[in-house]
Amino acid sequence: MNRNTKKILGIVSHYSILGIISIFVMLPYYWMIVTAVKPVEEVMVSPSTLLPSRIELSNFSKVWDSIPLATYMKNSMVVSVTVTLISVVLATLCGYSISRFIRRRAQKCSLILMLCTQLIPGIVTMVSLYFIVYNLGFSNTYTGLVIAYVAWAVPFCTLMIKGYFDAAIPREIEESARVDGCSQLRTFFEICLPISIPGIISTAIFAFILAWNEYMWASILLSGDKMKPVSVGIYDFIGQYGANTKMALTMTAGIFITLPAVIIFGFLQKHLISGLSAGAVKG
Amino acid sequence: MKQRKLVALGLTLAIITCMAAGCGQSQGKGSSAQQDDMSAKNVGEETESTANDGAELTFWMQPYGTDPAIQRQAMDKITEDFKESTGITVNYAINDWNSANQKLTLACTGGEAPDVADIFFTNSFVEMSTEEAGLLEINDVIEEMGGEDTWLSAGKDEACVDGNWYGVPWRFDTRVLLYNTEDFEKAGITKAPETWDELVECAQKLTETDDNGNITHAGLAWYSDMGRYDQTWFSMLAQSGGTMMNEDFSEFTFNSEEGKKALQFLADCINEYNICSSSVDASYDALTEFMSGNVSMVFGATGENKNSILSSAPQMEGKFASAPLPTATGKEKNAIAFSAPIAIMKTTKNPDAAKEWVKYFCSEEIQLYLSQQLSLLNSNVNVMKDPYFTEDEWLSAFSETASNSQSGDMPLTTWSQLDAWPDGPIPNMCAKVVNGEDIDKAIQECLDKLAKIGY
Repeated sequence: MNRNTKKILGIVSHYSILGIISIFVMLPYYWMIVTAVKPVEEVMVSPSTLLPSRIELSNFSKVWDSIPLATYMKNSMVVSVTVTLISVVLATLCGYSISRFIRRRAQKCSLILMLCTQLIPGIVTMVSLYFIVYNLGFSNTYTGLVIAYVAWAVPFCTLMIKGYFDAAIPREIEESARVDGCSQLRTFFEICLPISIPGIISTAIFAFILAWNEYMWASILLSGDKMKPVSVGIYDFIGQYGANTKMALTMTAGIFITLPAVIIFGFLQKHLISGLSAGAVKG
Repeated sequence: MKQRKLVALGLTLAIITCMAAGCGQSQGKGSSAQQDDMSAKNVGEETESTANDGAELTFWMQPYGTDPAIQRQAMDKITEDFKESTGITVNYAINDWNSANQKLTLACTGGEAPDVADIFFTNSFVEMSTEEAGLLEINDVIEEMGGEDTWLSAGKDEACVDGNWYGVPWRFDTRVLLYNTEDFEKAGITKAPETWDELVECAQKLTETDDNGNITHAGLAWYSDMGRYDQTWFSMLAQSGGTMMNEDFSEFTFNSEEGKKALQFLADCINEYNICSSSVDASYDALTEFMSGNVSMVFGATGENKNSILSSAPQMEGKFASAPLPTATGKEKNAIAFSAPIAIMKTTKNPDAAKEWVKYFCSEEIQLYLSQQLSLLNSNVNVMKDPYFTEDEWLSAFSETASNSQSGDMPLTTWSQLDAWPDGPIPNMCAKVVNGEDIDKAIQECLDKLAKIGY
């Protein structure tokens, strides 16, 4: 086998594996779009068809009348953006502190505690946290939901951004700034923060998606349509025995629901990858 | 320099505080829990002077019907009409089925609770109720509404615990045989089967197999599939003349000859007669297969299936019908039935207004309207006698079955454990029999496990 053949085989196998993985990843999204545009009589056919016989676009207008999707999306947006802002601010400050002062007892302890919180399944703390939120008078409010989500997002975000500070920002830069008379806080705000943007963005995306997708807390803490986020609202289509006779509308709603995340990923993909990879490898 | 540091730190803290406070403030206005609390206090004060006029209630219910918009429209109309006639405002919330059990559990144990709720598992909720929270006993409401004979027996079993009523029965559910009229015509079958023998004969005529004997078109399918045979067997137990428990629900009685006969018939339909492609495949959905023309009869269809079929497979219009489920000899009860009540929570600040709402919501007129809008059957005897049910081709089978059925869920606090799927003793027993285990042995093992869990 000559070098050229080996090279071609390498490329072919590379793209074959990439293609197979892409099919697996894209299939649910493809299925969602195809179901949304299928004529009603083809949606529940067994065996299912991969392509619709004709494109039916009426679901894209019907879905707004069927459930208050705009309200649900607004609710999700308010909660997700608030959670993202709070989590990023807290996690960045906390992550920097742990990264730079890991030898101090408080930082060490908080790191261990944050790791511990990641080992506890969410359902375990649900009842106690529910009653805390309820007794604070925050059940059925955005505030209650934000508190619950921030409590879950901050530890992971902190660990994520700490990894970024450890790996991507050399201490030498900070030391140079300190030699030039910069204080610790100014070093953080004027030196570290600007060069940590990729890490902060990937952390923000994580916090946003966590809040956007979360179902369990929202379904327990909130009642009625006024506060419902989309992750709970989409269950309006599911009946008593788990039956869903509006599968096409559910999938259409699914398309609208995933759009914000898709758009954010599209714009911030570059930062996300560099942020995650920098945090993943210790340099 | 130090000043700037402090300013920066102060600003950061201020931003975080403002965000949290902003959330609290903006949402505090919209918080129904807090609003309810406030209004309940106000209403409590007003009650003494102006009865319930101006009172505000919260009402939780689950989604019903095939279109969420229809339920909202119906509830908007009912609550508006109620407000017009009584001055009481009802804020309804439709909570999804996935979280309904958890929300009601928390409501009964001291968490956020509505004034009135659409509940299920009444026995369990009564058991977990405390002095301050949980379900309120409403024997007076039942008396005012005409006493226990107002509702079908399954309704009483679900709403009455130890002689006390904790809810007014409303929605009702029983099972029928759904069949494809075109397939029947092609096979020369002129009427729906009325006995088990006729069912097998019909299914055999309708079933098609390939050269290897594998079913390509099933004559029969169980509505509750995915290996969940207990629901089907409950109906078969009624159809063979057997009962799950004795009259005071102190002892299981399915280890009778009738119980064994029902288990044998269930196993034979799957293993012996080769008429149904029933399997433990989680993706197998009997209704989807029926709509796709792969199945001719579905054993145990529900009332809302008609709208589901027309909504998902409009090409099936005029090609399907319902009939009471066949029984062993044609003389026994046809199926099992379930009911669910509307309950008042002890935490309500306005029990009188809550009772007014329950009476209004469960009145015959409103129940008939909701049955029509949400494709629901009803626990009220008179509602089920309405021509809407008795003269409709599809619903008449349900109306007939409703008065010839027995309770599906037993009023036991541990019932959800005893009948837990897939590992509860009862589903486990059915699966074992279907998989060829000796019936007596499977029943004995099941009884031992039931006793161990307790009831």
